[in-house]
Amino acid sequence: MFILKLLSKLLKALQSADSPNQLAWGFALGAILGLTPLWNLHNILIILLIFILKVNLSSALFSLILFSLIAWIFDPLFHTLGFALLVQLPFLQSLWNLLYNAPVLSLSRFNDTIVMGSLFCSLILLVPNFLLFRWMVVLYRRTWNESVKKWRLAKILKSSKAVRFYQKVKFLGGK
Amino acid sequence: MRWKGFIPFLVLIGIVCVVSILFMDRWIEGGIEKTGEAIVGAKVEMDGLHFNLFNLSVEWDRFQVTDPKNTMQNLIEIGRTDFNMRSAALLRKWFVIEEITVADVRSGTERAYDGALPPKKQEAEESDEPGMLDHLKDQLQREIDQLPVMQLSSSDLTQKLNVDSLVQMADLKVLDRVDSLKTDLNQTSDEWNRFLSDFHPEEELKMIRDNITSIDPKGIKTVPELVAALGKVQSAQSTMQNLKETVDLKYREAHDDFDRFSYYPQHIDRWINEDYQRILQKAKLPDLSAQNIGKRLFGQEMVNRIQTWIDYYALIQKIIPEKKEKPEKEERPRLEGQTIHFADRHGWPSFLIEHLLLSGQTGSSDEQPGFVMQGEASGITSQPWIYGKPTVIDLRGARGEQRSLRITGSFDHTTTAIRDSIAFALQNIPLQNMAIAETPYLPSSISRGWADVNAFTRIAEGYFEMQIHVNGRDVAFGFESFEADNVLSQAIQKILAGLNRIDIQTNLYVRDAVVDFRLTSNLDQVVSNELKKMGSQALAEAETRIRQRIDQLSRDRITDLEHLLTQNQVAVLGPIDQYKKQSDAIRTLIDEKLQEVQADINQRQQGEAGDLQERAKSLLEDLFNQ
Repeated sequence: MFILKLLSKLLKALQSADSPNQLAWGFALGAILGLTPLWNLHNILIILLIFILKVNLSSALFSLILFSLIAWIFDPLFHTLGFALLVQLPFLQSLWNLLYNAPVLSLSRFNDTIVMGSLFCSLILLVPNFLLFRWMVVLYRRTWNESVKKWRLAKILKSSKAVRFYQKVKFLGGK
Repeated sequence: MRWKGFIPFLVLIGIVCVVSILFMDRWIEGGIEKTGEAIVGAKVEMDGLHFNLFNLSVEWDRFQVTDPKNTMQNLIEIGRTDFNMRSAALLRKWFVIEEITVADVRSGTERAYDGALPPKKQEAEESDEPGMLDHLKDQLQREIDQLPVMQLSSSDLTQKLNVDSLVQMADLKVLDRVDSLKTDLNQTSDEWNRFLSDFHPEEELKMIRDNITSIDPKGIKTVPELVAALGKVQSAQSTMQNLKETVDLKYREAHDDFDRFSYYPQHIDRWINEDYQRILQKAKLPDLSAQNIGKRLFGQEMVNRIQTWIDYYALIQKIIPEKKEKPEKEERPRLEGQTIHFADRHGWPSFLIEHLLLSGQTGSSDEQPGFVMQGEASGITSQPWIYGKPTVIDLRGARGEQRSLRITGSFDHTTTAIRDSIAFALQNIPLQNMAIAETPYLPSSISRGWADVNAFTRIAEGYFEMQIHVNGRDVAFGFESFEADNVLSQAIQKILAGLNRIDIQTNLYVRDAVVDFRLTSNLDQVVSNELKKMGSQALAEAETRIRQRIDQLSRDRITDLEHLLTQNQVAVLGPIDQYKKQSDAIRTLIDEKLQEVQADINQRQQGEAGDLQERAKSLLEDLFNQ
């Protein structure tokens, strides 16, 4: 149900007046939320940015879910990368010491290998993600938009028929 | 900018904060329980935990740690406790407790339900590689399991010892070795016999001797004839030289070959001795001088106690970990990272109890209070290398007026080279409940007695040392399952019944994974002295019989070998020695003849020179007279 709702919103967003930049930034920031463990201090800042910058919320939410799955796949890589950054690079040790001893910042769990590895990856990928998503949005709007609009599934999703149908079925089930 | 976005953001943060505050106690509880279970390997439960965010205080109603060896019982149970945490440290996610007073600590309390972890979780907790302590525990149990069965039947030694079957089992090596020696001797003799069948220098020697003997310088009239005779002797000398070299070489070789066999009696003695020792091992004749009575009686109990102690120490090691030069990459469940710690400028580790005041009892209930304990500990920390001071404990306990207990320990994990030491002193403990192993020829219980126990343990990198001294007094043994079926066992019963003090010294050393476990007692000395007296005669008889049987079996073959050697020595060395003797004699004869001829030539030459001088002189006189 939630996925259908989200797909519906995403389709609407892709066909809305929002600029490709707004959609792409939504994707890129949502990717950070998805790739890194959600309950972390840095994600408060990302959520704040998503809320106050004019980025598309649906694309951010969609990206969060998509990249959470990707994060699960790349978890061993994040662990290895995080361990290397935190332990195996001597020139970074003074920075980590500083953060470790700083009040509040030490609560960010930066010294967790998964948090460090995934945050590093997601920050490295921020701009490439933005550029990639913008290119995809532009490409979609130029090439696919009209065709997709005619798809039956798209119509159903767009009109939220599926959502309404689900609600009816749910009530009929007595739950 | 979408300034209105602040509102949902703040709402979201607010919801998160409210949820966090509502569930914080449960999360902290869960975190402590999970960490504890990872250390102990059984359920750790905390009831009624409350964290006060405003004064940073924590309190709980009950804290239970299940005994992993008996999951229906608690290792430790602590009642209501509260303490404060240092706020500045908490802001950095460090849990620093300056002082905590833990009262009403009990051990061995019954659990309402099983405290075992689910199998999967337990496997995950126990997946660590076995270390020095696990190896030590296994090795100790093996030491006890591998104690040979105690043999005390004197009749067994003399009657049931089947020497023939033992000899058959032992497969005497001396017989094969003597046979092998014989084969070698035969082969050597054959080779020499083949040589001697082709080597006949007698004719040549005879010819040379005849030729030399036939030369008589006195019978030769002229000097040129004598010079010709000298040439003949020199030619014979040259021929003889070649022949003698061959004879000398063969003489040396033959003697070397047969000298090799002349050392066989020493070898045979050694082989017989080796066979004898092997049979003794197979016979498993009891060594009455070391019956290990202390080890048999108290070994299992001591090992059990040491193993329990090792388990506790392993727990301490998990709570106070060792420093590693660099963090090692750990295997961990998916989506769970590894926390890396860095140097802290405040000297605060991630978890620290600076001072712990403890009181409680070792018994599970008020009816069975056990030892009433009190004491303190300092520097309990998850990162001693950051705290920089060792963890120190000092606990004292008493039970009634007479019994007392004191445990002191220092766990220095501040560097990579750990230095731990623990001392343990118990006074006036009753021995009635002390379990002793059931062995047919030893007592099965202690019916009365008191003891003082002093134990000391020192652990360093790759090194483990433990000394336990039990000093028992007013002791009486119970002989319920004693098998007093022969003179020796009756003697033991008499000796042990008369003893009223026991002195047990246990020493355990581990260095570079080599375990040395010794348990000695005054019982061993007293009993072995008596057994030695009674058993030495029977043992000596058995040993003599084995020795005689080996001698008897090997005697024929050795005699045969001796005979063969003498025979072959005569057959081979006899002719060669004869050739050597003859060639030496002829050589001497030639040398003498040569000197004789040479001397005759010189004499005649001098005579002829004198004659010529005389003749020249007379001719000159005639010439001048004319």
